[in-house]
Amino acid sequence: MALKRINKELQDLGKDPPANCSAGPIGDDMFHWQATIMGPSDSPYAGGVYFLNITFPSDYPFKPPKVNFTTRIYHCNINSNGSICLDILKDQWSPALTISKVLLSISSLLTDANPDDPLVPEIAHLYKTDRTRHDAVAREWTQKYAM
Amino acid sequence: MSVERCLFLSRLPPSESPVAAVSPRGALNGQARGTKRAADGEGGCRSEDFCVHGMLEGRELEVCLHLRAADGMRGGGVRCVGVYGDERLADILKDREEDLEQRLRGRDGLDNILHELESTLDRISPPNPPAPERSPVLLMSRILSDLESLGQHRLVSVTPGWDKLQVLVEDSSGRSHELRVQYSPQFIQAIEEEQQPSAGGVSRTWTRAIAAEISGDLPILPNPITVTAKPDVCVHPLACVYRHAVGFVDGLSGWFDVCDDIHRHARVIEPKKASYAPLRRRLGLTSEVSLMLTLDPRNPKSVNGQHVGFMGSEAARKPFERAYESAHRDRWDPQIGPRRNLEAILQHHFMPPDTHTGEQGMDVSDGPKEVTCGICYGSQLEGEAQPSAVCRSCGGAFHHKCLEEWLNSFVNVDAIDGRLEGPCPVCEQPVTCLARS
Repeated sequence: MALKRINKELQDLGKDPPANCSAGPIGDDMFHWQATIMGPSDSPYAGGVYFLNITFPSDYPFKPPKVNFTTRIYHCNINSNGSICLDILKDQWSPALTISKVLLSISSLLTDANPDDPLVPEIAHLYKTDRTRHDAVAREWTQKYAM
Repeated sequence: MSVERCLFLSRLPPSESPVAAVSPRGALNGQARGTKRAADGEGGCRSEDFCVHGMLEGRELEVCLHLRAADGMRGGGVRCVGVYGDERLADILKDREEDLEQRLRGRDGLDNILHELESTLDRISPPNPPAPERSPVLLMSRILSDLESLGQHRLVSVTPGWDKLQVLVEDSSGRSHELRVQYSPQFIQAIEEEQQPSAGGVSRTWTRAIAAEISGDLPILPNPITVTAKPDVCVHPLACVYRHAVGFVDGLSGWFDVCDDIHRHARVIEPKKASYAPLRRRLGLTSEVSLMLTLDPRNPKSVNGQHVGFMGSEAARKPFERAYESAHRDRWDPQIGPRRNLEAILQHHFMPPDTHTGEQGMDVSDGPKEVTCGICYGSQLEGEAQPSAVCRSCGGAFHHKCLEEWLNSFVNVDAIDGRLEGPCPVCEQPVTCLARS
């Protein structure tokens, strides 16, 4: 079931790739993918290319995939290990979701951070109190790590 | 001590014109159209006046704030206000006296209020004032006669006020571009005064610089063109604007060639709509790898005018990245355009252009419409020819087996009739199914 569904998603990604994202298996193991997200143009991550690792559980799609950034990013919902704080990757997961939809959600998380549910409180604090400086640091990190 | 209420409205003598267009002591920034007038002692206080110009039914009118400043022109220090100007403006502003006075006493800076007055004036006047003495007939006949030299077929559309035209401009490769030309009010006035040299008496507009803006499906937009309305410089202002547009579009012919070639021979994943405007396009190489191509519209064929990035998983992407890195500097041929260069360097053709546009999403399938399961996204599954369980709230269809497995992960099984209940994967409303296994 899991393998069939993962294959189906790969096929659909080829037919209709989501905006600014791509994904596919790293090697022969269909349960281990790599994805790319382009920094959204209306965010301080613009121009950056972000890589993510995706691991599908054996009971996918009944359990969410594990998704984390391998490119460093200055974002209050993504920590230095690349872990992402996103509800649909945890308790809000639904088997109707796909990698394509997950990547689009992550992409919109880059545009609109959620500082009220932070993974990195310092970044969330700066985001709330001095947005200009937050964006400047985020741009700096984009240039340093993602270009 | 209460601030004395001294808002008054009176008529501005028509002959008076602003003395100088300078900003008084930092109260106005250079952009504001506020004009300082000499203190005329009106109202009996040492004062300075700030005038705002607005348009009402095609006439430029003036409204002035008459201030008695207690401590200079810093907003908070304004003690006394007079508003005067044209009678009709005064009528409109009468209702706002209270508000204005209150705001001057409050935190609002003077320049904010002047700006707001100005935008109020702009708002209450129609955008294309159809003043009776200013019918667009003069402008229209002038533009039509100008068009004869260009060919009337070039006119695509025009607004009722004739201040905005859509014209067809052909580049040197014979492509037509629809460009929008918008004239400044000065342009229109100059054309009209040229038609009626006696009106206004003086030919002061001859030397006036007039502007038109050009826009369209272009990667970069030209600066607004400025034409000096002087008979020996420019007999047909529209023709001048048109020539400028042709020159601009011609300068981009290389860009149009490159874009056409890409749209004809490669699958453009993003943006979906074919257009000359975007600089960045995502092209499909394989079903797993796409190429992000950013081009410089001024220099689209040169190796320096392009930037390439690959998207896809590392294993799928790497061969392309390696091929590109090792060869693009040496093998790039500026004669053949980026699409063919990239295909030669990568030794791979781009996916062909997408012919079926429209339907998107998971359910795009080539065959006849099949009902797919909202969980496994397949249609057939071990004995179930098609998804048989349906959510009553959203109509989402699932294989019984898939839905059962999903609902099994929730604990609230009704042991009595053996039903499983949980949130629908699609709409999150409660959905049930019989526990078979």
